[in-house]
Amino acid sequence: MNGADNRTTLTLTYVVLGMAAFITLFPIALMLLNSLKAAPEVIRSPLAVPEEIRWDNYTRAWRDGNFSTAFLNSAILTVMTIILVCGSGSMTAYVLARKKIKSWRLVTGYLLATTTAPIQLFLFPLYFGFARLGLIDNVFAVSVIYCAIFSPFSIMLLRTYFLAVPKELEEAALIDGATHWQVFTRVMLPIVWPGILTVALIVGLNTWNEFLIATTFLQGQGSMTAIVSFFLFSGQYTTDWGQLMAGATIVVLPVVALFIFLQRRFIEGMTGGSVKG
Amino acid sequence: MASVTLSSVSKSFGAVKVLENISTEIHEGEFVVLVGPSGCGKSTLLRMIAGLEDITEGTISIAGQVVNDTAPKERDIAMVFQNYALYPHMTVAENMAFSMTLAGSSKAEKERRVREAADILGLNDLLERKPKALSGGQRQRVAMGRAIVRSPRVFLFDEPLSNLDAKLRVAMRAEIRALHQRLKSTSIYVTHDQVEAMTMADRIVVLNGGKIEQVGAPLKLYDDPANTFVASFIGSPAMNFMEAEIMDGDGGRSLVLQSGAKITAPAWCSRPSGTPVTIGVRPEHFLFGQEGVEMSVEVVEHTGSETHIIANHGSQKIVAVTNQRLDAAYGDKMKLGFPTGTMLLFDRETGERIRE
Amino acid sequence: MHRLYLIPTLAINLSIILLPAILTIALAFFRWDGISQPVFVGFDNFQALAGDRVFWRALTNNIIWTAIFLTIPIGFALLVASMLLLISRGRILLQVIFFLPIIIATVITARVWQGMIFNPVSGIFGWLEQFGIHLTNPLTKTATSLYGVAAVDLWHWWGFLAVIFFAALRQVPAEQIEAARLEGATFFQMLRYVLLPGIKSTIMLMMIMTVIWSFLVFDFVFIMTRGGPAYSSEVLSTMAYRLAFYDLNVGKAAATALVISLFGLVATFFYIRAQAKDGDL
Repeated sequence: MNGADNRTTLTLTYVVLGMAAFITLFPIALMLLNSLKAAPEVIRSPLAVPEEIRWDNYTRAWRDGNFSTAFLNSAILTVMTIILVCGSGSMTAYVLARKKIKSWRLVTGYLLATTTAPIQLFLFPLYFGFARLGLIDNVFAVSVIYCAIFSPFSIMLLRTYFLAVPKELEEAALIDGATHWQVFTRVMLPIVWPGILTVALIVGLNTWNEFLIATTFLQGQGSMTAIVSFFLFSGQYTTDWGQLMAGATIVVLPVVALFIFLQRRFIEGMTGGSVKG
Repeated sequence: MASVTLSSVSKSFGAVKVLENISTEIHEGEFVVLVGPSGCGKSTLLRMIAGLEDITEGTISIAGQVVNDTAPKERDIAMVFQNYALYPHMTVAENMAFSMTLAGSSKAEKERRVREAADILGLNDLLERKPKALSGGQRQRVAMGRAIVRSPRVFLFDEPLSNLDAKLRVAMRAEIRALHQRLKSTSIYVTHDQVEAMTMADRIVVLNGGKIEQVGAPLKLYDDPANTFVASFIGSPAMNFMEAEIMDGDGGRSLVLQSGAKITAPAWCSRPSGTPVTIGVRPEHFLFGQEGVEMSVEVVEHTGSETHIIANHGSQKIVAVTNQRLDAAYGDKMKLGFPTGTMLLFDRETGERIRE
Repeated sequence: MHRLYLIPTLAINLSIILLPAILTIALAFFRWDGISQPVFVGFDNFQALAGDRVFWRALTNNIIWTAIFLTIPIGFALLVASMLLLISRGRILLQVIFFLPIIIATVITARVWQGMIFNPVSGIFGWLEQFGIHLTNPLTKTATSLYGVAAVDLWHWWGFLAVIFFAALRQVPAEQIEAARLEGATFFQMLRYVLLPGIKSTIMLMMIMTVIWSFLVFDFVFIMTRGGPAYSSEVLSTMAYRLAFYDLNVGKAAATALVISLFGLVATFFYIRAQAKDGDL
């Protein structure tokens, strides 16, 4: 539908949408605005323009939040998780999409069920098990947990990409002399590459932002992620809201920048599973 | 180059039998077309020859060797798919060379062979393009180029022209045929289009309901069909069929149509009086003149070179073709003579030809 | 051969999810502090839960949460999504804006709302005081704490729904919409008779997901109130977390986790059925 039927409807539409946009942007704007103010100024009025721009909020937040280490941890964790999910997930998605095994229905059903499994259902034994194995504060071990949690939905998403590839391409490759593994790596993977990128983005975003697992398994000073670090740091310095908002901005900035740059892929990927054609 | 032998090949999907006891031989260098209505099992048969489907029973041999348990890549065949199956992430050249890449051929060798194939098909200017940037006809050519590059023992074509528009289809038909004359490669071509079969094949295998109806050269099938199915499937407009009964009378044997009209029976017809038969007459064999069975004209179509007349005789619809320019209008009465010499008779029950 | 492709996924999934999940079910029948030998206690943990006022409070809160999230964000998102369909300029920009909150980490969102909105000193609530408008921080009152947290989650959540619904609405065939316009349908008639029926399956799916997620809600509650004050905003998952890691009562925590899963399981059943109906299974 292009254009409303009359001016009143159209005006009303823009007013409602404008208000919705305002509500959405308002807290974000407050965060940015106050991240540049000194603490007393924030208290005077959170809405006022800063009298003096305090860039040092950012340097202090970076130091107090221990972000050099935390960002590195977050980055390692995110990259590891992406590799694990995309590597294992694409193989599984291919096999399930092409019904290569007799039990594909069972496996698909099981994975769908674990998509919605509550973390608490497996969290406690997992924590005490990891503790016994000395895997607490181990970024690599946690990336395996993330892989387990994010894989099911990633596989379901990747599956739709594999389903869209014509079967004849596989057959053509088989006749061309490819082994099954070559069909997968040289023909299928390059074709579903956009899907893998989309999954990588979403898994990356979720890993970067994840709270419950990170705060439970990564509590050590040297192993915590940016999110956990900000959580602890924001609990300690609750008086200097300028510095706190600077810290918040530092943590969301990479995510928001990437999102704005690749918004179409993000939105497609995150809404993809819910909208049926 | 190699021959392909099918002996007692059957295929079932679960309890459903799609092919039953297929035996035939495709000779070295021959161009054989498998034709039949959709669901007759022709594509399945082709895919079994390719090794993409298992063989439930019987054997398939290439060059005398049974290949039932041989993987597709070891059969040394090439296949052109209906939707071309070009790899979208590779250029035309990469697509054509992919089989050689997998086999680990040298770069120079690949280049040489791709170049050769591209020359034959006129693809030289397109080698660096991706399939997305090609037209339907060009994609078709690349798909064939991919097959040629391998210089396989057998070429398989799975309805390769059905995604093209009518004009391009006719052009590509001739091109594939010319290519075959040049390469002299054993080719098996699947189509549902009998015109394609007639124009391209050295020999045609007509399939119906998972069984072979008849095998033969195009004109042999046209002139001498084994049964009503082949007779009706081959030829366009299709053969006319009329139910009749053999009757002995004063003036010799005749065939009595359901309307009661009498036609002189062919002299060779030796079945007893009272036998129910089906008469088959090709549209162009009707005799336009003063004698014959009276018809009421329904539609007259002028193609320029021919006139098609669709007429009714009682409840029976008849299509007749002549290269005269006839003037007739809806409702006009017209007499069509039945040609005793070219008329075919079929057993009404089994549909089999009644021969001399 | 292709079975091997599943090994990494299944090995990780079974060892991280299935095995611990089975252990959780077992632990629900034991008394365990996480360190010493577990002691089998039968249904004691469940009995303890049934007699625990906090448990009933948490369960009630989860149900209230579900009711809120089944109505307010879905309704608002549907309105906004269908309005996006009406306009021709600014769609992409608005979509990007509405999508922003879901990609911002929960900790960040929580702290921004706590400090910049609810806080009586540094936030908008404090600023409004100058104009004689007196608003208390909802997170500090037992009567309002749950709703305060819910408000933040609503902000975080509704835009994502709106974008999903908009994507679904765009797949309603244009001819249907045009036909309705020719027949003189108003905006709300269009919504009622053409658009909403056209995206029914998406709405259903999101409602099922809402039920599942509402029983899993953890981050915002844990970060902003830790279930307080006086357990007024406690939900089942924060309760389970507290039981396991603060009270070291892992058996009771496991029992709580089972209750959460039970609700999830019912919704998951409908979720899988919805997916299967769409030909995914």
